[in-house]
Amino acid sequence: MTKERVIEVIKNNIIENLDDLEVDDIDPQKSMKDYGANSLDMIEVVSCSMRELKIKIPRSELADIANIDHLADKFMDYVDK
Amino acid sequence: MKRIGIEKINLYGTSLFLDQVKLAEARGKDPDKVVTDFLIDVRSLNPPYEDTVTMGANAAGPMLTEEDKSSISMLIVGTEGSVDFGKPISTNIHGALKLTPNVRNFETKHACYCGVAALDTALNWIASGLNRGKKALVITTDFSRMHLNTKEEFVMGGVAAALLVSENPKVIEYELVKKGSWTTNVYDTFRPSARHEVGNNEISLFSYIDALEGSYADYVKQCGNSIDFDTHFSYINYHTPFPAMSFQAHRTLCNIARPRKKAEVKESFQKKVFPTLLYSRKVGSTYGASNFVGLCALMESINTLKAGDRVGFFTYGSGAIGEFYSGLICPEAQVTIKSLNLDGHFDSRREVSVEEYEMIEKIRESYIENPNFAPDFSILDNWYDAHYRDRGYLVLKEVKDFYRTYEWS
Repeated sequence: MTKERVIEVIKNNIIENLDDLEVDDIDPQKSMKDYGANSLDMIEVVSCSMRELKIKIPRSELADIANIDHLADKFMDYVDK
Repeated sequence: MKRIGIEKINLYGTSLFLDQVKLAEARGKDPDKVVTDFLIDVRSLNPPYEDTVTMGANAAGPMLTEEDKSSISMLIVGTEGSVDFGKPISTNIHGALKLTPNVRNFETKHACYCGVAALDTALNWIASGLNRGKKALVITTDFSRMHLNTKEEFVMGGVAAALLVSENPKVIEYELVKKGSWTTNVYDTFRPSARHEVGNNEISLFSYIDALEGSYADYVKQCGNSIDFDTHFSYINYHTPFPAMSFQAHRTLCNIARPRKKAEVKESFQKKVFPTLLYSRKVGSTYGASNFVGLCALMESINTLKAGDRVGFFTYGSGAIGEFYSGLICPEAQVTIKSLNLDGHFDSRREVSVEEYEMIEKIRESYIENPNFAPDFSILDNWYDAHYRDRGYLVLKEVKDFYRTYEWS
């Protein structure tokens, strides 16, 4: 699993859960909040992405992550295990 | 196995409320977004002469007959808003309710799990047979602290619930062998001093969902891994730090059972979960009383509720614990709930303006750790005379050298 693929999964789940967004609009260096996501939207994006990637991470470890790229890094730690 | 559960139940949602739309306008926020994001229409508010002791007593007092009182030999009060670090408020409430001396009493603390922790202890005591036919009074009472001009200000509130727990349930009978638990050590929301209620909302919401997944998986295991999520529960009552959280909770369990589109989750939510939100939308944060506020709302909202309908419950306490458990509605449940006139209780509350709310919160704040004060009963256009006087509510009369004196109005 490449990091690019993980970012693609996260991006797809962001556009599934937020209105008026295209995959190409999303910059991984930004936070989901920058695209109008509230806390519950972020929970859903994380839940759907973990399910798709078949990984399980304590969500409480994810709350301080600054942007989509860092979230992908955290996912990669578990994908590789 | 004996049938054990709630024989009587009552709520006390304070005597004042604040409109969330007016608060949003005063704070320069979009009122529609505030109401939609949190699903709170109005939040409850205490006058300065009420606290967690009076709320708990005011929930229990009206539902107890003299016969009930003599049958109680355990009193447990769950709260994260006690008025003392040593003396439990169960003693204040025991005195106010004039229960017999041969009662075991104590207070439970575990953030919003305090109420279910108290209930579960009572259920297990009765299941053990050591109750010798006696009943338990379980109370859970909580109220938020001052949060003027913060982003958390829109998810504040408070409410008390009182439950008479016995082997003659008339509201709900719990399935004691079906219960899943999940614990972790996390700082999500906490009260490190008598003034502060702090934390990180996102960590708390993430932790809530972890606890939901973990405790539900444990529940399924206790049930022999043979649950069809879509048919097993008639209704599900999720802990509500704010009512809108229950949608995310339901979405999580729906998708664990079988990934599905948001529209299908919404349809299931409207049918199985939304009826549990009737009163939390009038209270705001329900703290330790959450599962009981939801149960009353369900019984009031659904006229077609049947005996034996299974209700799933999720309780969450920051810190943190999640528990998933279930119960069966009793045949007498709707007669019991209608007799409470909870709608009448909520409708009798006085609306306060944003300015009045700020005044009340500042007065309450000035009382914290203050050894001497006497609440002013004339505020809010003599609301005490209009609503309390001669109506049998417990109020805080004065605090002198830290000794608190309560009296019935």
